[in-house]
Amino acid sequence: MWRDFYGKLDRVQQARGFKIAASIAIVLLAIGGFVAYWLANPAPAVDTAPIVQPAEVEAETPGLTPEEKAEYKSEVERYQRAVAQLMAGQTDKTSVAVGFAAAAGVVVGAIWLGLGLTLALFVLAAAAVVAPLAAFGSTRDWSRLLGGVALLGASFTVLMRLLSMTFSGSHPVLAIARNTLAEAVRLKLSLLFIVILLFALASVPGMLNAQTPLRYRVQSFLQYATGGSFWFIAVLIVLFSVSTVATEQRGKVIWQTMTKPVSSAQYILGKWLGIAGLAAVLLSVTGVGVFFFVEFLRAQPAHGEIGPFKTRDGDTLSEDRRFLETQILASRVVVENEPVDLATNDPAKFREAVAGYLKEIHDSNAAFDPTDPTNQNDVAKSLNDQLERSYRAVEPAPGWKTYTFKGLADARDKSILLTFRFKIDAGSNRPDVTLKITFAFDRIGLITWDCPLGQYQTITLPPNVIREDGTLSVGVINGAFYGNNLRLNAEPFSFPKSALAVSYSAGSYRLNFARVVFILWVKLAFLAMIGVFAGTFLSFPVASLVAFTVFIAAESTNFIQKALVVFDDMDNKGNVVMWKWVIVRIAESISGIFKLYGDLQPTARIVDGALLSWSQVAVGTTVLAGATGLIYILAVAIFRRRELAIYSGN
Amino acid sequence: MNRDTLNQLVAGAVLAVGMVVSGVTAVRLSVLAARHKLVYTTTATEGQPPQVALGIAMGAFRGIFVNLLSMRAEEMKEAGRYHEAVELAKAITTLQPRFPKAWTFHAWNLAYNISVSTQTASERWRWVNDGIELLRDHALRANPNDLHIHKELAWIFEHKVQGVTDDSNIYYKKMLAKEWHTVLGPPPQYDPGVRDRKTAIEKYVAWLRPISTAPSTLEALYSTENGEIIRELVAALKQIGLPEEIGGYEFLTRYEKDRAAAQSSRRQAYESSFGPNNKAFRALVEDPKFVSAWPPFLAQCRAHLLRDHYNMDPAVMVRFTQKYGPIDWRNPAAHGLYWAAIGVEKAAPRVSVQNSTDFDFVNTDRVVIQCVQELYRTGTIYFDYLPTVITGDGYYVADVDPSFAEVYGQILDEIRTRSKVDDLFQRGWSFYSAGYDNFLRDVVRYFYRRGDIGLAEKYRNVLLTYDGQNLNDPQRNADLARPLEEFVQMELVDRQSSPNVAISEVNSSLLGSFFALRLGDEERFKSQLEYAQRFFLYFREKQAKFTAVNPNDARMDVLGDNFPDLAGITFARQLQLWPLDDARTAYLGAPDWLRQYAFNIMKQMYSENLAREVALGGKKFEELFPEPAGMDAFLAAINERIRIKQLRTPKSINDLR
Repeated sequence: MWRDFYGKLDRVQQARGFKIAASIAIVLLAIGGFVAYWLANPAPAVDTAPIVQPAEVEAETPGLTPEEKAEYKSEVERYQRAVAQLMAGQTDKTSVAVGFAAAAGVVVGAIWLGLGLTLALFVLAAAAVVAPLAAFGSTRDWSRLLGGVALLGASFTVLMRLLSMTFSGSHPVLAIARNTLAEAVRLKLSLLFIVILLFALASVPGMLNAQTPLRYRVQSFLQYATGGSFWFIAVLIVLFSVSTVATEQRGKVIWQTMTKPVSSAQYILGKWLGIAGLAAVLLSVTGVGVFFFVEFLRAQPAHGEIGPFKTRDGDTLSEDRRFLETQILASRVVVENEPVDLATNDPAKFREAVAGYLKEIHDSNAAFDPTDPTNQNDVAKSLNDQLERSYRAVEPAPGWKTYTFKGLADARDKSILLTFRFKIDAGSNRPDVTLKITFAFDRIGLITWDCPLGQYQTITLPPNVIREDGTLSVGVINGAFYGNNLRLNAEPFSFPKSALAVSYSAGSYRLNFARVVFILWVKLAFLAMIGVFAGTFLSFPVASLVAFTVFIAAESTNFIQKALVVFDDMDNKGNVVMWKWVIVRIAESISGIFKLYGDLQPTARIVDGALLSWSQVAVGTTVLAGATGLIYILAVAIFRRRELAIYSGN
Repeated sequence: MNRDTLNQLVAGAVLAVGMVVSGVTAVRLSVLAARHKLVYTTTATEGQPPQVALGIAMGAFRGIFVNLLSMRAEEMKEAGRYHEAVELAKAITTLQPRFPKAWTFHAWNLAYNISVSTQTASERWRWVNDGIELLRDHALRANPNDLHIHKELAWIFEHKVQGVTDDSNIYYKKMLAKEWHTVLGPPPQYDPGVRDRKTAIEKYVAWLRPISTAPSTLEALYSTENGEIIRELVAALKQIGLPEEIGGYEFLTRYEKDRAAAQSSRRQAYESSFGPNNKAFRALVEDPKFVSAWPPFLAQCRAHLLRDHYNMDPAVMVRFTQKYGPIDWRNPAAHGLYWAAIGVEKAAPRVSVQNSTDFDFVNTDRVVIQCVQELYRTGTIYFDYLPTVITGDGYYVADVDPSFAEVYGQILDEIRTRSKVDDLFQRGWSFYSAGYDNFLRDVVRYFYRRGDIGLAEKYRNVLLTYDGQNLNDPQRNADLARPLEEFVQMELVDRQSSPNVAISEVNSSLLGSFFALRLGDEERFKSQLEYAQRFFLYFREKQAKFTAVNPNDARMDVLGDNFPDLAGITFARQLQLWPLDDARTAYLGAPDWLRQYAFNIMKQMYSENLAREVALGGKKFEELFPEPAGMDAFLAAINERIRIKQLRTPKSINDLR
């Protein structure tokens, strides 16, 4: 009876009429749902009154000329617009629209796969399990976990079927890719990984502590969900890509493929396409999950708020919210201060300084040849470094040291809040010491900061600190003013390299997130080709070891480069130590090869709210695609030479 | 007997002997290990989080994994991503809970690095307190005898909370005072005749004793003399349906709030805002049936909270009170002292010649000494509990507690014997002696300013005669031999802007002026009061700085922000210490603005007793202590100030424009 029932249901869901009707219904439902949401959450009424009242301007600017008053008003309005832009986050319905569209897309996809009613039954069954669990406090966490797993699992299944459908052509490459996809869900190893991944991702939200400030919750979630998913998928891809090629050869299953009119190039490409497709599906499911949970978190009250974007004391932004919106859910462009760079800015003066320096060394050491170009270059470099260090040091003395940041016109024009980030070093950076330092910015005056040593600090600045030419100047003094008295600190401090910067959000976090996910996929596709390449001529364990070594080396590039700064190949007498020399050369070569891979740092960027620009995406994609192509050619060349059917005598 | 049977018998005998020897030696070994504190805890699984199983399951890979996590934690710290560093440190301490450095790295990040990266006082306090709780409530449960963790915990109390380097330090002090007022209840009030150290200690011990001797469980409490009535009280409390756990911290907050409201001059205003829970609770507090049940019940709640939540032993608190002095546990230095001293006590038996370099007694003992010094400088706390609980802000001023003047010298020898670097008698100079010297000079100056010339002379003699004086200053004895006033003036040169000097100078001259009032010496009263005011204003001008982080309290606001408040509260407190007639003499001699602060307090203290004596021919309170002019306006002004202060909210850097 049940079989008949299912048979009938299946016939219904396979019928074209049902597919059309159901698709229309789903699209209408999605549109209706979004409109209902829109109506239930109207945007706040637009305040048509001027942002700054003339009376306020009069009160704040006694004695100024009308032009100065107008400028004051315009600057205040610029600042208030910047804050208003952040507040607009509460009424932004983009993510809801994307959510409805994504859900409708998956369901319509399922309908056209002939799985419409199956999906509906699955959702009902999941609801039947989740709803009772959600009713009790003790099991509510389980309901969330199981609900999340069901949602992610259903999306994964539908996307895999859609991808299989996409690969349904008769071309050998597509056929091999389709088989590889089928193998991925059939193979216990990869299935286990996929199930664990879905459970792990669904459980990450439950690990967040509701008492933690919202910005840290979002950051933690982004770090662990995005980074964790990538690593998990990467391990799966490496293992699966090696396994699918190596075990097919070992088990002689490959005979069935290669005895057909399939070339080596087609075989390798088909395998890679299937694995890269699997990576795309997994990354899509996890990426969409992460994106929507972040949007959900964003709509939660931040620390110091009584509701989302609403503070108890009526202030427009809580500190937690301000950090979240300007530094994390952002795509920040970071602008470092202009270096002193005397060699470029004042070459004559620099040449003079180098000549004086060379003479000084020669006077004290007759063996030193001041005309030797190597010596001249060394001295010029050393002098430039010294000047830069001196430029970054601030003595405890009256008088402002000024630093300039260029290229900020965009932030000024679009009224975007700036984040001024800095770190100071003084002496041995005693952790229990703070220095009072004073910054002077155009139009907002002095800010005195109680600054711990060796720790990053941030100050939010209004956009009106930027001059019309897009530069921002900050004066720094090593002390603080008390009334008219300047009290200097006892010791000098310096801003370490890259520790003095201004940043602003140059675009949408959401688009940045999409670019990050894309780059993660490009990396996975590269790893897939490494795995396939190793699997063509090595046994499974050896090929896995090779592929993992490449993966770990590529991911550790930044760490290796940092380690090389302090790892010397000489002993304390200046003699080269052979084994250290070998290590350094190997480490340098490896970190050199994978430098671009390491520099992309997609997860770190999304966690820090830093922009991954289109140009970086283009360069990264081109280079990694080139490397993937090169390895593909190598793999094909090797695979062609393989004797797949040697009679072993057994 | 065949060969097999013989073999079996021999094997059985060997087995039996082995088991007996093992049984005897294992017990003996365990006893020895516990006695010499060679085990983390006396129970193998105590303090071990269940996640440790994960670490054990990882086997040899645990070390590698922890190394990776440590490297990343350090990297995240350097990048300013402290929160992630904390998350990683959490994972490290979960995998290796017996690794003290990981705990302290974690706590330091919370209390020092993350806290200063936030810009509101309340958020900063949250992180600092998280650092404290991590070490006290978690790290020390996993490593109860580790000296390093004890020292770091003590340091956070002594430096971060008690010190003045953090912009929000006054806020931290208020929050800690609120917490410990709740946990232990208000400390004993001084009364006339309790001026000497010994009696003060006895009072504080008597205050803590019921807590230290309280049964560990409610069931055990029910089997005591008042057990049945306590059981009824607990049942009645449960019947009210309070949202908080009966006996927990929130419950004690309710009790202390109720007590403070009942004693407040604004009692009616507070009571008018009571909801049904508070009303029902008040009824139980005032129910004569439960009068005998409340004290033992509260003592048990407090003891339970101390042991289970704060990981503190009330018996040790009593012992330290006896050893060090009348400790007010609302003072951060009290906790610094507790953890440093208990750390030394627990570590001392574990030291041997081989492992002596593993124990940093010198720095831990320094924390002990610094905390004792802080308890002398700021041991008397005036704290307004009720407004702090209700609004998050209230009056907090810390004053000198002379009871701690003696103890520094008493513990110096004990500490010196533990130190390997303080070889005074070889070198003729030591840090400990230098510290003690400075401390005694402050003591002399304080007693002199207070008008207690006898005590000032006594401590100058100690300075001149104690064993272990440094020999590096040939001028020292000549300076000490100067006339007392000249010596005190010399001590003040260049030190007026130090908060500790300000506290002792202002408070001691205020006390000196009130003594003069009692003696009828109006001229000295005015000159001392004027001196206190001048010093107060000078210090405020030099040091009080409001910050974006904590705009309600200046960073060095150790004396409060208003001189009349400080003088008035000190005056009121001093009148309570004197006998009625002396208090009346001083009251009548004081100007109205000072009397206004004391009037209601004196009324509360004396009016009932005096009313009873009217029938016997005594005088009414109002006759002895006439109401000062402008009392209503004064109270209205105070209320208005409280209201305005509540409206002042923390501002972010956005407001600096």
